[in-house]
Amino acid sequence: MRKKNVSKAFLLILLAGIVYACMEEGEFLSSKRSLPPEVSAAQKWYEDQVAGGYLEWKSVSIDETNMLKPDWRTAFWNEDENYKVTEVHLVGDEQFLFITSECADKFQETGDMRYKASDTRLVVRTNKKTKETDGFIMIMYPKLDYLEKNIDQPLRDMSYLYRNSAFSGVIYYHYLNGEFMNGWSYKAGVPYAIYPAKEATNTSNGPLKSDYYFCDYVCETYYSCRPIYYGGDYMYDYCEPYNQYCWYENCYPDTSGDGGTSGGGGGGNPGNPGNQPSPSDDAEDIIDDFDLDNTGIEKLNEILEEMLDQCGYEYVHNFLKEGGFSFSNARYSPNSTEGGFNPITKELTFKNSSSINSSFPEEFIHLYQDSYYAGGIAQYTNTGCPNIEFEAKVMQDIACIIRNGACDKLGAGKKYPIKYMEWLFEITHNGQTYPDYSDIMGLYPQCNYMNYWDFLEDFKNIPNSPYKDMPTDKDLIPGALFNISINSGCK
Amino acid sequence: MKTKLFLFSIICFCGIGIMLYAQNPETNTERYIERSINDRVYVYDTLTYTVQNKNDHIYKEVIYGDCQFYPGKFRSYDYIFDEIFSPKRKKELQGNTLLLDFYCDSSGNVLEVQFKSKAIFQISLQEIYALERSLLKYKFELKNTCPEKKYYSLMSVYHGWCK
Repeated sequence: MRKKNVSKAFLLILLAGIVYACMEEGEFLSSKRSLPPEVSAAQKWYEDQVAGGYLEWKSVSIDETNMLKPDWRTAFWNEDENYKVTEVHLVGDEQFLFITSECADKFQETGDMRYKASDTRLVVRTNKKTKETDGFIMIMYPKLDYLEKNIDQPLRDMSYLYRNSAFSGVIYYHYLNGEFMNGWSYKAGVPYAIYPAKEATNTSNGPLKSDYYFCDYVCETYYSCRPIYYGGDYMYDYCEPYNQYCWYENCYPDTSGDGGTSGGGGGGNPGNPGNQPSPSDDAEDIIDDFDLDNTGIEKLNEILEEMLDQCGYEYVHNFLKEGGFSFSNARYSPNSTEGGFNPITKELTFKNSSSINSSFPEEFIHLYQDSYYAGGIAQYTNTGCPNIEFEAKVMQDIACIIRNGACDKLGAGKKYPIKYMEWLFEITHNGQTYPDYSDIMGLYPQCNYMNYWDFLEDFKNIPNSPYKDMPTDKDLIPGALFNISINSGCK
Repeated sequence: MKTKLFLFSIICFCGIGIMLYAQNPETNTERYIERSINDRVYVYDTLTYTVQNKNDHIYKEVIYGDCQFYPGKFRSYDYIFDEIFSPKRKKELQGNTLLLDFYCDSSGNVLEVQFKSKAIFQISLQEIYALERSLLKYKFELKNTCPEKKYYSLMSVYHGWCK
């Protein structure tokens, strides 16, 4: 029995010794070991930029400053196709900690330090093409609902390049000289621009009219805390409520004065160093300028990518790209229809970001029609307008029916919607090939001997149809559609 | 000459009459065939190669072109076919497609589904029954639906037998 106790005590001491040795060794190693070359390069860049190694960082909306310094033990790096990025914790003896009021209340209630999750990081970014390097400060903190779902490591899978797709919280960027750069309030992974309010006051939230935008005015209290390095990460203790910081969010354009032409919700964004979505190469091929917010650009990229999986759309995209045809601009127009293409200015408009998925394919086809038909489609404002509209819808329905997807029968008319669907199935040889001229103009007993022109007339009579009284141009055959059938090689 | 003209007129009238008669589903009793399985009756249209549940009615109530909604990202229903059609049956149906005509509520729940295929008579009634049962549990992710609109129609082509 005594022998056993001695063995147990020995084992315990040995274990404690190993743990202690590891801790010491760990710290020693982490401070002495050679850093990965990417991190070393970032450290060198930082030391060249910042004399003395300390950053003088100002708070978001008042003149208080923190002296912060990167702790290179915590550095990590990653990359995407454009950038190599190193991130490292910035710490000071005392530093400001940003958390939401809800998280602060929850901390008061539970005493659980995990509710004080907040990160202040130095980001050093190198452009892979140009080899240029820049750096900035990134502050991020979660909202309560997100924090509670990820309570142990709420910011572990968050980096400058890669974010948790469900992240809800706030991310601010500052230049190294302490000036505010830009900020984003994330709701379930979707970023919304926020704008710092210079005048921090105790006023309650409420809509506020800025120059071009209506916004909500939001204020939070930030804390002055002492960071504690623990287990390879930082936690914060001895926090005292320090001051208030305020910003504008949920901004939307003021369309009362200029008829909605002042631009979209993202129009007031300062330069964005975060992983703000940028237009894809495919989008840039066919749109010259983007005046959309992040959500809009994301949705546009997404729907275009989805479309280009389909042969017909892929051909149209190449046709536009190779012919140098493009939309002059993509922007929001809240007072207009869901989507629009102006064949004179070549402008692409959406009512809002939610309209993009449903309306972009059609406007994309209108640009194609405008490029295909001699003289463009601006000449068909009355006679021939139903031809253009119906052809665009049939093209979408055909593209959809050929692949394995869900199609909403865009060209269906008032009286023969089911016959129209059966006709589509027939002319595409049971949803398997792109139809040619004889398919589209053919007469089929199972479709009541109706063809393209009959379904066009039926389409003109859909409820609230703007085409009801517009004459069909019988000489305007659906050439843009046939062009795809002849030249695309779509099978 | 008069006799020839008279005979020609009779032939023309008869021809037109037969054509009109043939196209009128009410007068052509052989065009529609009813088949029952368990508690359900399915109506086959021999002209259009479609089959639908006799109780379906929502398809008549759908209005088209009144709402620019988005069908959402397509979630494949191939697993349903994989459960119902054995590899052997798939081989038998190879080269065919099946048009699915869905009728949904504003949440995307499928309320009715109809089938169209050149191979409709090669698909057994049990298979139609099982397909309908399973597809009625399928849900689309409709977006941008309109407040006043009750029913939505979507079509989709199953290409799984072509692979």
